[in-house]
Amino acid sequence: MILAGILTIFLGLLVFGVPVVFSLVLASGIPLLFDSHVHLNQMASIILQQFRSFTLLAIPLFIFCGKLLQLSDVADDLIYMSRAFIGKLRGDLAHINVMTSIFFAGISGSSVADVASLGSIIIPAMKKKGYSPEFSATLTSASATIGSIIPPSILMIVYGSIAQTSIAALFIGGIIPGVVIGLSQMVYSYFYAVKNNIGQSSGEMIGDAPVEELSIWVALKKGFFPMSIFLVIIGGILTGVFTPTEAAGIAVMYILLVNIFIKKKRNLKQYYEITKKSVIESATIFILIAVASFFSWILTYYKVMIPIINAVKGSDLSAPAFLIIVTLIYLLIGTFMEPASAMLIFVPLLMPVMNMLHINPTVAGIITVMAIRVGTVTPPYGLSTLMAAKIAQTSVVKMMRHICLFVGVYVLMLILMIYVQDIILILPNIFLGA
Amino acid sequence: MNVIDRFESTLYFVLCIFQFMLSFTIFVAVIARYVFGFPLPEVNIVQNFSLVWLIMLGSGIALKEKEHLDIDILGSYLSERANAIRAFLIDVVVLLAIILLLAVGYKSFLAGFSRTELTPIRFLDHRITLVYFNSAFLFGAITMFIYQVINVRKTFKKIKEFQTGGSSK
Repeated sequence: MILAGILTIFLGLLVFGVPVVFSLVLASGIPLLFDSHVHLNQMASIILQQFRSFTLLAIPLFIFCGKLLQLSDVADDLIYMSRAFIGKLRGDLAHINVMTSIFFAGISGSSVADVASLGSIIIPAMKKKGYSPEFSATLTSASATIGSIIPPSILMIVYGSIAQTSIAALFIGGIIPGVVIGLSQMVYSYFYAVKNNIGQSSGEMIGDAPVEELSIWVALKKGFFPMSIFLVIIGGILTGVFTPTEAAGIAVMYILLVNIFIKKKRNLKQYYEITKKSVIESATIFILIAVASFFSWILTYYKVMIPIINAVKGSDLSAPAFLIIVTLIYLLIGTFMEPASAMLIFVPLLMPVMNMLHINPTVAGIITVMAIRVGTVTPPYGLSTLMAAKIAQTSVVKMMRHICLFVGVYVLMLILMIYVQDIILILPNIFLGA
Repeated sequence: MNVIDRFESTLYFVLCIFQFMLSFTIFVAVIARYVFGFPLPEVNIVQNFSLVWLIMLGSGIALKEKEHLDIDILGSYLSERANAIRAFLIDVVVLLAIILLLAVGYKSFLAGFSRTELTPIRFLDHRITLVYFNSAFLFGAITMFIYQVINVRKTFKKIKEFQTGGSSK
């Protein structure tokens, strides 16, 4: 009865438009009124516990990293690098869009930052060349999902923290799946370019030099700073020199020092403004995580997962079949909810079943993050899609055909990874031996 | 500049300091451990302190900026007037949630006096209490309450504007 009240109030408030965090607070407040075993002190200590998590400390730091990078013009350098590598391939602007997202994912950790930084440069160029605004916006938004798969990924930190899974393994395990998703998007873009007879771009559209004049050497030079951030983060974690949280702190200081001493970005006001934005973004995500932890505790306390476990036991589902069902559920949830809070609520419910079916925790984590993240490409909860639509001056409704196609390709890749789990596990097995 | 604006700019300044403290202390701890072979466990206390205050006070400002994540499903189906009423009701519901957070914050503030920090500080002969940490919850909730009362007033005024001859769809 209490549980029904909690879920009804939570969903009702959510649909009514109450911010997710306050819907969670009120819904979790029901047992405080009607169950004498649940106290305010428990709520306080469970919420405050999250603020002492060294793992979650990485979130505000990686958000700050993303903001600092916006100051350092890395987007231009990464686009140059992608152009140099892509060369004269058909549909080059679309490929550049995807490849730059792959590079950007390795340093930013925030998909919306990816869309904002790259979209404003690439989308207008793609439109000029003949790509439809809808395709350009959808591709930019879809390629931004790679940001949550390739490390550093805030969603993987959240997952690792909830499921007590190695974040290093999740980080390393996400590299190949991220590249696979990127390649699938490039293949789709190639066929789009052939079908719509779109040729190569002329250089001046998105940079200062025509394609013929691009030099791999200059590209490597330009890409050195952004790529070195990725190497510092991943190299440090892999060699065991520091944890993901420490890697985030080191990355912040590294970017800050390069910005000040090498890139000569010394306008204090700019730093103050981006720090303010970073603080607000961190606060909205972290408070959600903290409050959702109590909500999740309430759901566990009322044993919501028991019927799910019994249903899976009774149906004799295999591990891959269960993962496919979970993928579809997460995709649907991701459509309506912010990914971090959705994971906080649903991962603890599904974890016992994952353990019962002996699903590898790294595989479970990466599939969860990928499935839940792709849901955010589709409306109504699609921050990156909304931003891309705004840049391309189109509407999300007009983008729906392309959104469905991109999501379809993405889900197919996910199913492939569920059946061929080595795609995920090969790097963790090589570098971490687990 | 009125009191609320001054409060907000001070708050932003403090939060930015916390953000830098977080990054800097982690960097210093890694350097101290690997370069100088001198671990600094006390840094954990600074990190916990910075993080909890950053998030709790930042959540207050996020309320003012309307940055807390929500799902807008009904917005496009309702008239302007209905949306104004809905915005007011949402603000009232949020205010109720914040009152609950105030109660939780008060409890945690009191609990902070009777609990001590697990990490010892080398130059102190006793462990510090958790008030420094737990009180962030209470003060964060107070900040949220202040901004939310302002939000409720604003949305209430909007409804009144409709009643006194505003247009509706």
